[in-house]
Amino acid sequence: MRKFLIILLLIVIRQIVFAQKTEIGIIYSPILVSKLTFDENYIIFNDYTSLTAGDNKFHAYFTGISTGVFYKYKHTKNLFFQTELDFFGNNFGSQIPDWASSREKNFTYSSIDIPLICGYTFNPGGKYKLKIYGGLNNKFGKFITAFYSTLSYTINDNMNQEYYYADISRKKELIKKINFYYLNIVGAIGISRFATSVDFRLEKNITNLNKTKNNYNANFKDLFLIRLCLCHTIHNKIQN
Amino acid sequence: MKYFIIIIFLIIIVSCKKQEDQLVKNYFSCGVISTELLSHTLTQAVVKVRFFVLDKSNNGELIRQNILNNITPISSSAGNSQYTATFDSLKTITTPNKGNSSTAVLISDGLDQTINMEDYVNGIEPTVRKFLHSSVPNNEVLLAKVSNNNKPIEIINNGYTRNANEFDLKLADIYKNGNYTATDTLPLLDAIDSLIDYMNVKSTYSNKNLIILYSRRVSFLQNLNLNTLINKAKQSNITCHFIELSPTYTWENNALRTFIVNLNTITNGVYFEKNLYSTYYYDDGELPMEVLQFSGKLSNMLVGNFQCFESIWTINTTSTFNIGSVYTTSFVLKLSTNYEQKDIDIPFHYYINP
Repeated sequence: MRKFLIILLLIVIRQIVFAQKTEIGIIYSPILVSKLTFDENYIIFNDYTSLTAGDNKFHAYFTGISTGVFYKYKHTKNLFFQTELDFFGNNFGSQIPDWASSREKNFTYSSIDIPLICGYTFNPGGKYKLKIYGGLNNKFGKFITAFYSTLSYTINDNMNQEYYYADISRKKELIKKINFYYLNIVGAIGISRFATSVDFRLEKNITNLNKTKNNYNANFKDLFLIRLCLCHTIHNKIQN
Repeated sequence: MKYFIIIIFLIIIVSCKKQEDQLVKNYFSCGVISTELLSHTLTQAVVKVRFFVLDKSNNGELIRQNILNNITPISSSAGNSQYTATFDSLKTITTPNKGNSSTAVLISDGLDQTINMEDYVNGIEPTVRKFLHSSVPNNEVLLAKVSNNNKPIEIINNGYTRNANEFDLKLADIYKNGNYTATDTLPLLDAIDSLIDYMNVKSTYSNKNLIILYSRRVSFLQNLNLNTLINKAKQSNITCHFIELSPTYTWENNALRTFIVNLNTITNGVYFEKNLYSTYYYDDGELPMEVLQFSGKLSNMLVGNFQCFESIWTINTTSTFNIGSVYTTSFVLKLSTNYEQKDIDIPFHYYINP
């Protein structure tokens, strides 16, 4: 029975992947501009400290290895549907003004993004294809990645590692407060040439960001992300 | 292209590796719970000192190490007088239970420090917050701010509460936007006076405590008689505690410090001095852990049933002890921590009561 199900699944995947009018490719998102707002002025932490929350400004970040794969289905020449499986970094370091002046105090986590997108290409036959698209982005998880880590340590007298970035606990606490799942609305504009496209995506949360709301503490309010995405098609059934 | 994708996925997997948890170094805090004059002559005073040494490696409880052979008295001098202390006895005791407490914390409008002294006072805000949180819900707490001449005291929120969360945001606001230095001491005395009146009326419990977190006023102008104020606190059965977060020599005005020391000693309150031996990387977000360890336990000290050391000291002077005066002596404790041996100074104040 299990073998039968696996074979069935493989057939379904094959049908989707190699169906007519489909494209598969990779996405890379090197730059993120973000803004995170809070409903109170100060965040209170479990270690009894507090930080000023939210400067209500957009800040730009390099997101390291934010990358994923996309699957695009072209319904007509102009209309397309797209879904992705991304591992994207979410950076908000400077949104905590008290940290902004200190060195490398980033509040950063990664999530698995599964956007469901519908789009329209204005000039499918043109040299530079212009498209707009929009949809919903499902954001799952909150991974602290070693890749983005700003954790540093020294070696103490007993030759043990001693971490002196105490702020790591505060960063983790902020990440813990975020919902494991939330939904963003996405709007984007892109331009493509040959197999590569450059997109600018704007995202805003439409579901609650907080795991639990605390009336005596700052809770997350709104999240805005502007992401630069570079997409490269590696399998194109239409061209075949 | 296949290899490119494989490499990207490998990088993703590697980057998902969980970060290690931080290690925090061992620390301990020490201070004096109370001093009591057992007997005195013109040149000799016998003082009972209850003190604590809390150790992180023993879950913040009293240190396990036998300190009996590691106590050294210090001779001190003030003016032409020499004070020599002799250590008589040491035992571990549990303080009597005083019942639930009503405690007011009086803070000033900000840090009371110049900007370049931030290191000394880093952690005042978490110290206050931790004390408030560790007191409730069994005990009631009150936060008050010394304000200005027109309105000497500002009671934060609605006075006594058992929900410390109510103070969280306001406390952050005061310390983030407060003044570094202030030159005016007038409101302080008025504030203490008003607060004593307020506490006498509003306190639920007879175990009333006042913690003054106030320092470094440049000038000290008296609009109230200090002795009257101290007597008022004493007659109201209010115990005043002193948490000294910046070193004594940094006080701009010694008369102000002396007043707080006298108030603390005469009402038999807890005295804690932030030790200078500990170094923390404040820029990296580290906190003065020994201060926070103490502030988490302070509530237990106020309620009683607290395990501590009790020592008896005989202090001789080359001049005479004046009745009604407060004197200071200190002793040194040699502590073995995980990493090194440390000599800790523990000062105590005693009152030659009539």
